[in-house]
Amino acid sequence: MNAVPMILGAPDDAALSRTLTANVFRPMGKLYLGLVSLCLLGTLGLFGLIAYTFVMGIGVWGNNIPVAWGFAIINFVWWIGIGHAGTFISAILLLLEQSWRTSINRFAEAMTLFAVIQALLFPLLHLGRPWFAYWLAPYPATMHIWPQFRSALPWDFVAVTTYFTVSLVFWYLGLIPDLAVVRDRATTRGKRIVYGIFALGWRGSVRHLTHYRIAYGLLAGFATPLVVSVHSVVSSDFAITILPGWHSTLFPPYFVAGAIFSGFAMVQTLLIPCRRIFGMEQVITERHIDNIAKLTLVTGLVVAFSYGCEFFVAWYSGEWPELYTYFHGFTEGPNNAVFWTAMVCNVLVPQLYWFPFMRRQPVCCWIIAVLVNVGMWSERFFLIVQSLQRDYLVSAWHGYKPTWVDWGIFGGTLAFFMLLFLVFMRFVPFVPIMEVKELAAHTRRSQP
Amino acid sequence: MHDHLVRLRSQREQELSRRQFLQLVAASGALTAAGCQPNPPEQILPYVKRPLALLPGESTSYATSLLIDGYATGLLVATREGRPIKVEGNPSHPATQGASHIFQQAAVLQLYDPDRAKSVLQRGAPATWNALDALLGAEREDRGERLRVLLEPTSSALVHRQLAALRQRHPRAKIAFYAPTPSSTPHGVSERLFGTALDAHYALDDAELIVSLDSDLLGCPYALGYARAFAAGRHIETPGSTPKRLYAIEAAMSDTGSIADHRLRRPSSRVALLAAALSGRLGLRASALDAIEPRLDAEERSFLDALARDLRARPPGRTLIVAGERQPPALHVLAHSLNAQLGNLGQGVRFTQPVLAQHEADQDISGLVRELDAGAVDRLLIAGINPVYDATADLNFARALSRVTHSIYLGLYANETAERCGWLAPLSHCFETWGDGRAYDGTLSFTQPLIRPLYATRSLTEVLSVLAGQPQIGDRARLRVAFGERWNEGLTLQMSEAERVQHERPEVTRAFEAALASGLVPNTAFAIEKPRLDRGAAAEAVQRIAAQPLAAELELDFLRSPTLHDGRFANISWLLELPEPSTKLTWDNAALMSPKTARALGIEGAEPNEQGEYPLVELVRAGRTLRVPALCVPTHADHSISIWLGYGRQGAERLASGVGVNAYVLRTSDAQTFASDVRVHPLSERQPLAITQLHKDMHDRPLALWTTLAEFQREPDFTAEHKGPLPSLLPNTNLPGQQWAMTIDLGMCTGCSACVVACQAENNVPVVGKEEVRRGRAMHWLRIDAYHTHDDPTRVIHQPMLCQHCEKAPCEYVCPVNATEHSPDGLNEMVYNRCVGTRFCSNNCPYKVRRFNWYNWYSHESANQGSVELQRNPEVTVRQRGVMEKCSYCVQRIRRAEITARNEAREIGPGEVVTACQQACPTRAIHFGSLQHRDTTMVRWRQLTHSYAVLHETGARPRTMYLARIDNPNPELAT
Repeated sequence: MNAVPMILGAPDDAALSRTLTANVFRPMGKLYLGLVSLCLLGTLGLFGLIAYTFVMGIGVWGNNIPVAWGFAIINFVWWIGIGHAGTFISAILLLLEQSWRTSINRFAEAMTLFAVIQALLFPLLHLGRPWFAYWLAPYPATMHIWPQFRSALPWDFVAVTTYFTVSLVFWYLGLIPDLAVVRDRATTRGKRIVYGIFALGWRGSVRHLTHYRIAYGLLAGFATPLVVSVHSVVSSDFAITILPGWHSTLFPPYFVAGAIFSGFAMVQTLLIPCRRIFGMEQVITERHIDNIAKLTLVTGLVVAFSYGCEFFVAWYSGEWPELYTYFHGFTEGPNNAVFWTAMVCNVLVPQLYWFPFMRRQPVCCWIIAVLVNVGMWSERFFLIVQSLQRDYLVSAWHGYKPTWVDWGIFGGTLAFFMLLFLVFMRFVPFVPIMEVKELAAHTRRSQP
Repeated sequence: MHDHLVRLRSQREQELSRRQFLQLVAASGALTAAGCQPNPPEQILPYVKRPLALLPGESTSYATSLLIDGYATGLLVATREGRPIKVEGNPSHPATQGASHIFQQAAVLQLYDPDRAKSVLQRGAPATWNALDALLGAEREDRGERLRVLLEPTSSALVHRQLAALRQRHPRAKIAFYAPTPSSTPHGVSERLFGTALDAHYALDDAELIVSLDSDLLGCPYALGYARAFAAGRHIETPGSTPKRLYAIEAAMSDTGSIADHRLRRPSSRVALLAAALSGRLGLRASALDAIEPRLDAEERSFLDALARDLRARPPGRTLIVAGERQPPALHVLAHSLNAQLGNLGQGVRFTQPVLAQHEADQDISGLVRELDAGAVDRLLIAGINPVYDATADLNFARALSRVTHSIYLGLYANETAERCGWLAPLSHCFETWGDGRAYDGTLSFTQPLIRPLYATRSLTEVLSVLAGQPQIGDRARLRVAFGERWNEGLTLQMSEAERVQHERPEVTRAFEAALASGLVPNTAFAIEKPRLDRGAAAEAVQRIAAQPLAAELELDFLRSPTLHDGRFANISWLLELPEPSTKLTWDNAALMSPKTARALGIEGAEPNEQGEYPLVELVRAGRTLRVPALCVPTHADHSISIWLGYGRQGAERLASGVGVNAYVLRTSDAQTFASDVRVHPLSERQPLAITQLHKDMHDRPLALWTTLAEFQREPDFTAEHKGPLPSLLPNTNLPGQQWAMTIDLGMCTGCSACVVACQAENNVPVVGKEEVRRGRAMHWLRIDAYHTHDDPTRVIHQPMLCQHCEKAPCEYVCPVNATEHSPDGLNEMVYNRCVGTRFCSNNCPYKVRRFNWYNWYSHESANQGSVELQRNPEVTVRQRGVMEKCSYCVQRIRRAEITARNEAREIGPGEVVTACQQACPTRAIHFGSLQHRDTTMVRWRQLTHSYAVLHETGARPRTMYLARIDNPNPELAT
C-alpha cells in the first residue's frame, strides 16, 4: 500500500503553485458554466419554494399527525452528518498528524461549510412560525422567558451554530496563506486587490507562520470536540423522547459514526470527479482515495454494529412498543422499502471496501460513495418517519407521503450545495498550497 | 346615459384610460347620489343603562327546542352578545335530559350556514314576500281542489292548528306528510295490534335484557333518554354488579350494536325471519313456523335458543324487544306481541297517543305524485323537505313537479327541490322562530327565537297562516293564544293586540312565561294507554314473514347516514367531517360490506392501496346504476351491502355538493329500506376515501381494555398493572388545590360522537376538508377510537381519546420554548402565543392527541369562512397557523367557574365545572372534576378495581383514566 505516494513525482514549489492555483486563473469552460447555470436555476427554485412555504405554511409539505417531522428534519440531519467529514479530516487528522490529509482538507472543509449551510435552512424552515425562530436562542427577552433547556432543540440550535462558526473560521484561517499566493500571482489589479484584502496582509514571514500555526492548532483543538458534540446533540432530538425507535441511549455514538460515514462518502462523491476534471491526480492520489475508503469502511462497521445493537436491545427489552417498531414497523410498515435500502446501502455495500482493488478503483469508490449517501439519507428517513408512523396508539397510525414541495426543497438544497461548491472550486485554491509544498519538501528530503 | 355606461363597461374590459375612469367615477357618483334615500331619522343609543338580561362578556342560555324527525328535543342554547353559539341539552326535558346528539350540536352551525336561502326568489330572480303572499293568500274559487301542501311529519301543535285552519278555508285542499326515511314505528302496526293508532316508546330502566332487532335505539336522536337509561344499567361498580344484557341482530354496525353483548350479523331482510323463529321458541304456535325453522343456520339456531332461554329466565316485564323502524310492520307486530307475552307492555314498552299525528294526512306522497302527474294541481307548497332529491326513484318527483302551475318551496336551502320549484321562500331556522312541538313521550315543548331572523325568512306557521287566510299576528302571539285555550282564556287570533292584552289572564301569562323559560310544559306527557292486544296478530305476522321469499344472495341496505341524517344536514361542515362511529369515514359514503362478501363479489384488492384509494363498484338496481367505492368492514353482515343515504347532493349547498353519491336513486317504493335485487359489478378504477382511523385491530395492546363479567369476577383487579405509581425523574406535579381530572367509562360509550361535535363547537375547532383528512390532519381535539380485538374483528369498542393531561407529560419537556406547560391545577396547558411550531411535542405524545395548524385553517378552508364565523366561542382563541393545539379540558369553563367562585368568596364545588364533551354525552360516560372533591362520581370511578390508565407503562401518569368495558355475555353463548 505504501507503494502509492501522497504526491506523484517530485514537483518543485513553482510547479505546485502553478498547478494548484490553476483553477483560479483558468478561464471558465462551457461545462463549468453549464453546471453553474443549472445549479443556479435549482437554487432559485429552492428559494422560490422556501418563499412558497413561508407564505402558505408548512401544510404544503407531506407532514401530518403522527408524522409531524418529515423531509425537513431528515434533510437537516443528513446534511449536518455530511458536514462532519470536513472537520474530522482537518482537525482530528491534523492532531493525529496524518499527513495525507493535507491535499484534501480544504476541499472537505468547504464541503462541510456548504453542507452545514444547507442543514441550517431546515430547522428554521420547518417551524410552524419561523418568524419566531429566535425564541429558541437564549437571549435577554423582556418577558424573562428562557428557552426550555430540558428540550434538545435549544441545545441543537447552539451546537449547530457553534459548529458552523468554528468551521467557517477554521476554513478561512487555513485559506489565508493560499489567498496570499493567489494575490501574488494575480494577473489583474482587481484580483490583486480582492485577494489582497482576504489574505489579510500575509507575507509568509516566520513570525506569521508561528502565530498561524498556534492559531490553527488551537482551532483544531476547538473543532475536535465539536465533531462529536454536534451530532450527539442532534441525536438527542430523538433520544430524549419516549418514542419507540427514537428512545435509545445508543444514539449519540451511533449518530456520530453515521455522520462521519456519510461525510466521507460525500467527500469521495465530490473528490473523485473534481480530481479528474481539474487534473489534480498529482496531489490527490489513489492513496487518498484508498484512505478515505478505509475510514468509510470503519465508520460503516460502527453504523452496522449500532443497527445490530438497536435491534438486539429492542428484542432484549421485551417491551411491546420496541418490539413492534423494530421488528414490524421498520421492516413491514408503509415506506419499508426505505428501511431495506438503508440496510443494503449502509451495511452490505461498504463491505466491498474489504477488497483493496475496490478501494483503489475511483469509479467503484464513487459508486459506493453515492450508494452510501443514499443509504444514509434512507437511514434518517426510516428512523424519523417509520418510527412516527406507527407508535403506541394503533388508532393514530398514519403513513407519510412527501409532496412535490418536499422533493423540490430537497433537490434545491442539492443544487444550492453544488452551486456553492462550484463557486468555491473556481475562486479559491481548493488544495492547500502551503501544506502541500511542505509535504513535497518533506518528500523531497526523505527521497534522496 | 345608460348606453354610455354600457359602452364604458365594455371598454373597460379592454382598457381604461384616465379620462374614461374619471367619467365613470363622475357618472356613478352622480347616480349613487341621485339614487340614495336620505338617512332614516332613527336614533341609536349607547348602553348607558344596560338591559337587565344582557351582560357583555357573559353568555345567557335560553330554553328552546329543536324538532328532529318531527319530535321536539329540549335544548338550552347559550348566546353571547345576541349570538347563539353553543347548544346543550335541557336537563328538565325528557328527550335530551341535559345531553345532546350530534344533530342538535350542529344545529347552531346550520343557523349560520352561508349557503342558506336568504331571500324570496321566483324562477331564480329576486321577488318579494308580498308577491308570494298574494299568490298564496289569494281567495280560491275551487275550495282548494287544486291546492296541495307537502311537509315533514311534525309534532308541532301550532303547525297542525294552521293546517286545520287551512282545511277550513280550503276544504278540498289536501295535505301530505313525507319523510324520506322512517324514524318511528311504521304505519299500521298499532292499528293491527290494538285497532287504534298509537306510538310505542320505551323505558329501559328496569329492563334486564334487551333485544334489538335491527334497531338503533341507543342512537335515537330525539330520545337520548334511551341511551342514558341503558348506560346507567351498564355501569359496573364491583364484580357483584348485575348489568343489563343486550342482544342485537343487524347488518351494519350501529351505536346500539357496538355496545351489545351479543351481536348477530345478518342481512336486514333476515331479521324478521329470526324474530319469527324466536317467537316459536317462546311458545308461539303458528303453522308457518315449521317453514321458517329449516331456513336458519346453526349459528342462528344456537343464538336464538340461548336468547329464548335467557328471555324466559327473566321475571315478567324485565325484558324488552325492540324492532327497528327500518323493518316491515310484520316484524313490529311480532315484536310487540312478544313484548306482551313477556309482560313488557306498560313496563319496558309503552303506548301513547301518536305524537306526530301523521294519520291526519289526506294522502301520501305517491298519491300526490299521481295527482301532480295528472296536472290536477295548480298550487303546491313544499315545506322543509327535499323530495326531488330523496323521493323513491320510481315516483320521479321532479317530473311530477314540473306539471304544477305554481310550486312554492319553503326551506332552509336552495336545494334540488327548490331549484325545480317556481318559487323559493326562505325558511327561518328553528333558532329564529317561535314555535312548539311535542317530545317523543308527548311533553309539550316550546321553541324560542335566540336571534332575529338573519335573512328575510319566515317560519312555516307564518307561511301556512297566509295560506289559511289568518291574521298576521306573529308566532309568539299565536303561541300565546293557543296556550290560553287550556285555561279557556278566550283569546282569538282575530283580536287586536290591545284586545288580547285585555283578555290575557295574569296567571296564564305567568304559566306561559314559565313554560317558555323552562322550554316545556310540565306533566304534559301523554298518558300511557292500556290497549287490548289482538292475540291473533302474532301468528298472522309469522305467516306473513314465512311467506317472504328466501333471502337473495345479496341484499342492498339503505341506511340513514349516521352523520348527515337523510341529507338535511349535508351542508354542515362539522357533520361532514365527523368520522362515522364505526368506519371512521368522513366526507363520503361507500358501499359497506364484509370482507367475505367482497371476496365473493370478486372485488380485487378490497384493501386500500398506497394512496388510500378504494376500489369502485357499480351497484345496479331497477335499471339505475351507481358508482361507489367499496369499503370492507368486518363488522358488516355477509351477503349484504349497506350504503348511507344523504350524500351526493346537487343543490346550491356548496359543501354538500360533490360529497359522496346519491343512493336514493336506487330506492323504489317497494324497497325503501332494503332491496334484494341488486347486482354488483367490480370496476377497475379506484377512489380515495378520507378515513381518520386506518387501523382498528388493537394488536393485543392494552389500549381499550375489554373483558367479560365472568372474567372480571374471576380477576377483579385485572387492570392493576395499568395504574399505580411509577418512578420518574420529572418533578412532582400533584400540587395542593384543585386538581382537574377525567374518568371515562368505556362500558357506557356507544360511540355516538356527540362529544366530538360538542368539543368542536365549544373550542372553535376548524374543519380541514377531505383532502387534508386524508393526509392525516383532522383537527378534532377529541376523537373516538374504534377498535376491535385481534380475535374478533366483528365487534367494536369505542374509546374517546383526548389529551390525557399527563402529570409527567412527555410533551412538556421536549418543547424548546415553554409553549406547553403544566398548570398548578394539573392541566397540561398549550400556550398558543408562545408556540413556534416545532411539533416536537406531538412526536413525543404517546396518545397522538395533539393537532397542528398546518395552514391557517380559517382562511385556507372555505368551510370555516363566512357567516359561520358568528358561531365562534369568544372565550376560546382562534388559533393561528403554525401553532399546536389540543384538548384543554375546557379550561375556559374551569376559569369561569373559578372567577364565579372567587367573586362569591368560596371554593369551587363538586360538579361545578362541566366540560363540553361531558355535558353532551347522552350516556354520561364522561365525568370530569377535581381530585379534591373526593365524593364525586369521577373520583369514585377511579378507585374502582377496573379503572386504568392507557399506556400506563410509559410513565406519563395521565390524568384521564378509563374504566374497562365489561360485557355481560350469556354464558351459554360465550366462546
